[in-house]
Amino acid sequence: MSLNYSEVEEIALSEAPLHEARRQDETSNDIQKPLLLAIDDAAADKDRTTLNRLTKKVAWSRCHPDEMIHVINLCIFLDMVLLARELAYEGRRLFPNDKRLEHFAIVLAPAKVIGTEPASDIGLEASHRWFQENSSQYKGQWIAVQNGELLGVAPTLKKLYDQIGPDKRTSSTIVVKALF
Amino acid sequence: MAKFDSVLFDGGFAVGSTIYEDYYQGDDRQNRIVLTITPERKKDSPAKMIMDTGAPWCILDPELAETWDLTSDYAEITKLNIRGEVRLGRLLRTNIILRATRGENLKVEATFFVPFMDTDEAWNYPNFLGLNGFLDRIRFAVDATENAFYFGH
Repeated sequence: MSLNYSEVEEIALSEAPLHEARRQDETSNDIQKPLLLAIDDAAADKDRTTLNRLTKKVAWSRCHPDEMIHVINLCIFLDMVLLARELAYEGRRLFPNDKRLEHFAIVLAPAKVIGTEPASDIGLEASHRWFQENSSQYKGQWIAVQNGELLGVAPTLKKLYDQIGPDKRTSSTIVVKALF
Repeated sequence: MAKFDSVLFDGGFAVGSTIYEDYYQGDDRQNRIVLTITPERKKDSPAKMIMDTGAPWCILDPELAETWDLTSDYAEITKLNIRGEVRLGRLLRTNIILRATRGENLKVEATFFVPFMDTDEAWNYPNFLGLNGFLDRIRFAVDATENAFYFGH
């Protein structure tokens, strides 16, 4: 179904009597469907302006949480973080029992500084030097370095931690995978 | 001690500073700002991350995410475009510590995208600290003349 955005908006806004009639049936979502389809089209076209505008027209309280989650996912894929966040907050308010919307509201919230703690010396500068001078020979491998000393090399992180053992796995043991 | 520690610490701009690496391991074609962070719950698992204000999301290697016990029963599967590839994964929240070499470490509640991998697939992208979910709520400055990264809140 191909839809013209302005037609969809017109239908949604002008059919007040129909909208009123549908209100009798709380599960009905027919009025929102064209808008939701138009949102899909806008997302497919990467038309962020239209997508943003259309989300303001949707009566989310008359939609299913799955539909809201779908649109949040579209926003995430298009890196429209502020809109995704706004929808997630609204979704949590409208559907407080939906754990998925609750989760989206949490993960889409801005980062939060929760405190500071004194820095401890974990030998960062010595380890940096080791990585800069030596890591190119370990492409595709996980590498563990502590205070500028190589502890181990392995193809997976799990194997690397098994190799170095629990005693050498400390806050100063820096691991990285050298890209291949 | 980095050149501007006193000025930026005393002036209240920064609480800590660290020396960053110029390159991510295995990717020496591009200059980067590579920092070390630690998950608060797994302080024995520090890892390297590229600080990138042009990256919209923080992205974490799935093997590291597993080591950090970063999971959720309610996280929806979502998809991101990573360097032109559509990748499925989950957005997950955790506390991380930005390690300082001087001053104080900074603890931040941050969101990471953790991609799914096929069983025979190896993830071959760096970890990223992007704008959303991390950098958009901290104060930072870079002195490229001595690879110093200053941070505060």
